[in-house]
This record gives sequence, structure tokens and C-alpha cells, in this order.
Amino acid sequence: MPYRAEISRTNPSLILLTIDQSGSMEDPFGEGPTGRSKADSLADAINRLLQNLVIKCTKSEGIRDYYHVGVIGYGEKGVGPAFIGSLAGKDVVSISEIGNNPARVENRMKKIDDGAGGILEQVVKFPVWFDPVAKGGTPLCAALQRAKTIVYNWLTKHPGCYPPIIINISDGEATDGDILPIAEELKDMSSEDGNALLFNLHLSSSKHPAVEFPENTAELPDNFAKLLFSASSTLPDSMWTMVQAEGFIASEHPRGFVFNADMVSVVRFLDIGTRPSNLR
Amino acid sequence: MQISCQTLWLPKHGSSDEEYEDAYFPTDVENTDKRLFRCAVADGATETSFSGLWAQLLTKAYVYNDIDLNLLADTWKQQTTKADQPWYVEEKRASGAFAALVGLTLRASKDKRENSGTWEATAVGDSCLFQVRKKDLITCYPLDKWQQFNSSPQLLSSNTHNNSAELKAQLIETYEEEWRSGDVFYLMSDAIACWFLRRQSESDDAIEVISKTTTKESLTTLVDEERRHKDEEGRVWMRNDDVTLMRIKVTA
Repeated sequence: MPYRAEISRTNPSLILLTIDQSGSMEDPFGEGPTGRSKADSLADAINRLLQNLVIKCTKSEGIRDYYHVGVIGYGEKGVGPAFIGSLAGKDVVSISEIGNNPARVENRMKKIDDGAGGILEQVVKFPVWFDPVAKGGTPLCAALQRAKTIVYNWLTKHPGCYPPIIINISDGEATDGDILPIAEELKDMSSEDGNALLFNLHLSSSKHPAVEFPENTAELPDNFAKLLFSASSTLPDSMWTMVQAEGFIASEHPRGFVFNADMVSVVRFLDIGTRPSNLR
Repeated sequence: MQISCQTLWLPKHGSSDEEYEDAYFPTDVENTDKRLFRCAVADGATETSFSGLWAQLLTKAYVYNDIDLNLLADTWKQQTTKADQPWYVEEKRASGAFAALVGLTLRASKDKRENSGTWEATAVGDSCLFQVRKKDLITCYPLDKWQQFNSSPQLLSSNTHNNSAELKAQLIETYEEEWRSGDVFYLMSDAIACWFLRRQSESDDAIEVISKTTTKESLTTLVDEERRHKDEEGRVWMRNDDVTLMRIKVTA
């Protein structure tokens, strides 16, 4: 049965993020606070996702390289590595390199439960690897093509790995063709443990309510959302179990697709060993 | 009563001995006369940091009959707080360490002519106790089927906000039974406990196999084999995790 390979330092897996940096990302984001663009939301989403992945792989002695991560941006400059700071120009790096090399670490305020029915504000560290970018067209097909090359190279070196996960964050408005055939080719690539997984996070200006891991397009508001849904993989059984355990109302065959919502939950679905159910 | 207690352990494959995050207490005891004997095994969760230290604190506190989660959490915090840690170490530490715990207390009978005594156990999470009489598995606690194991149990946390009232109640609850001279108890962390229950239910020879596993070499051979052995669905018989096997023999 696929999707059972152990993720470890000796058998790491790949997470590849493809991120939309096109001009249309300057448009306002969903129902969020006034003045927030889709590009702002994307930068937050990607920074939070990487932060959570680093923390997941952190042990007492430091970060264990259970994952290697690539971030490919697409926009005005075409398709290319999107890290800033000391990681700029690198395609794929280990999760420990990411943890140790944010471009900067900001202090942000976080509301927490004070344990007595009230709310406290606490200063938390917020590492930043990406700043919002919104310029040019949306060469999403070229980005998926680049993802195919990176995944192919990874699978050649790691044939027994847990299948690579590609998370595309976009408003879905590709300007260079039909994404579906390339998405299919990407999902057809496989390790001995199963096919690569393509998930999509759709950031939209629509005020339509958030949708998480749907089974069909019934709740989706527009054709861009439906297109990205169609391009997304069905969640493997092991992730489906976690989706249910985490309280998402998921149908029997949910896709790795969220609309104007958070993809950080996917990090919780990655199995690297015992994760207590009471870990917040 | 006469007590012999032996513990064998192995780290997860691919990890070093220093990265072993289960814990046990006390160290080996051989044929020692006791009126009361307490022992425990704890299993620190992989996805949390400093969980080996938390597991050690829990086992010692059980054996000394002094489990106060707030005090233990303070000790854990003191021992893990360092200045100028990278952002990710601070964040991870703030969410706390987590561990499963199983503890056993054996009591001698007040009447020395009796061929038996009583025992009680406490368990939180998926570390397990098994009682074997002759060749029969007569008690499994707290889990008794291998299908009950999963990778997200409720565990005791060093961040006390994570410990629900229900979880704390499990620490106070005890399971009480009787022992008879010659009984053997096993305390096991989850990977080997799950394997033991599955092997016993499907091949009916787990007790025999485990009774012959008396050295680190024999445990290594068994664990290596079962970590590779896959069923028809491609699942390994023993999950790659730290392994702890504590054996307690009691005679009147």
C-alpha cells in the first residue's frame, strides 16, 4: 500500500512550494482586513508553513533533516527560486538550513488563552523568508514544468522516499496555458511508495467563505477555484485519517485543496512519529 | 517477595543511543527481597523536544510515589531553559514535552505463608503492562488489542495547559489485581507492546518469543527482524520507534 514510507533523516522527503508572485496578487484578499492583498496573505501563508515545518522537525539538539524544501516563485521574472536573504538563488535546501537562515525574525503579538477564561497578548518570534511580491504575468504552467524537473531529480536520488508533496499557492489565473495536462504529468511521477502529491491553496478576492479539503466542486465559487481543485491530488488514506482527527469535516475522498484558508494544517498531517493528540 | 527486574532497550533505527527518548526506572534488580516494589516505563513522543528528560522525570516520580505534574514541569523547565536559543528551539520548548507512562506497584502479602500478593498499575497513553502466568497472558493494561495503537495518543505534557482533567484523572486511577508466585510482568513502550499483542493474537507465540529475549543481542535480532517483516498490506510488524522491554519476575 502506498504512502507508508518512513520519513527520516536517512530517508527524507521533499516539499516543493510553487508561489504566485504575479501582478494579480496585488488585488485585495477575500474577507480579510482592509488593505491586505493576496500577496500579503501568500507571504504570511508561506512563512507560517515553513515556520511550522521547521518546528515539527526540531528536537532537543536542533533541527532534524526529515525534509528538504524548495520554493519556486512565478511572476514578472519568469520562474525561479524565491527565497530571499542568504538562501536566495537556491532551488532546494534542507529544513535545517531554512530554520537557521530566515531573512529576519520579527516580533509579533499573539493572543493566547490565559487559562482562566481570558485572553493574553504575548510576543512571539515570527521568522520571515519571503516578502510580498506582485508583478507581471502568471506563468503557472512553466512553474509546474520546473516543479517536474526538481521532483524528477529528487526521485532519482531518493527512490524509496515518502512521495514528494508540491504545494501550489496561487489565484489560479495562469497566463501561459492549460495547467491540467502538466499537473497530471507531475502527479504521475512516483517513488516506490506512491505518486507525487499536488496540493493547491487558492487565494481569491472573492468574499466566498473558506473551503477546506472538499470532495467536489459544489461549494467552490468560480472557475479558477474549480480548475485548481481539478489539478489537486486526492489525500492519501493516512492523511485523510488525520484530517478527520483534526476535526475537519471531510468527505470520503477529499482533495488536497483549500480556498481562502490555511494550508498549515497539512504540516500536521505529515507523519514523522508520535504526535500527541493534545499537542496544541 | 523476591523480585527480579531486567530492562532491555534500543533506540529507533537510524538514531543513536543518545537519541533514545524512552525511560525506565529503577535499573536492574536481581532476586531481591522486597515488601513493596515500584517500577515504571515512559515513552517520550518523537514530535516533541526534550521528551526523553520528561520521560525520565515521570518514571522516577512514579517509583518515588511523588507525581506532582506542576513540580515536575518546573523541574523540566529549569533543566531545558538556556539563554540565546535559536527561535525554533524556544518555540518547540514552549509547546512542552509529552510522554506516555505505565507504572507497576507490587505488594507482598501481609501473611508471609501466602503464595501471592497484590499489584496495581497506573497508565496514561499507550505504554503497556502485561501479566503472564505460566504460558498465559492474563492481563493487558491499558490497551488489549493491537488495533488500538495509533500515532496520536493523549500524553502527559510538561506544558501543564495541555493536560486535561480527564488525563490527570488517569494518573490517579489504578488497576488492581493479584499476583501469584512465578508470575512475570512486562512493561513495554508502544511499538513493542503493539507488536506483542498482534503477534500473540495472530501467531500465539509472542509470550514464548519474548520470554527468550533476555539479552540486548536477542532483542536487537528480534526487533531488526520485525521492523523489516511486512504484512500483505505493506505494514511492518513493528513500527520503527524506540523500544523498551522491562521484565519483572515475582516469587513469594
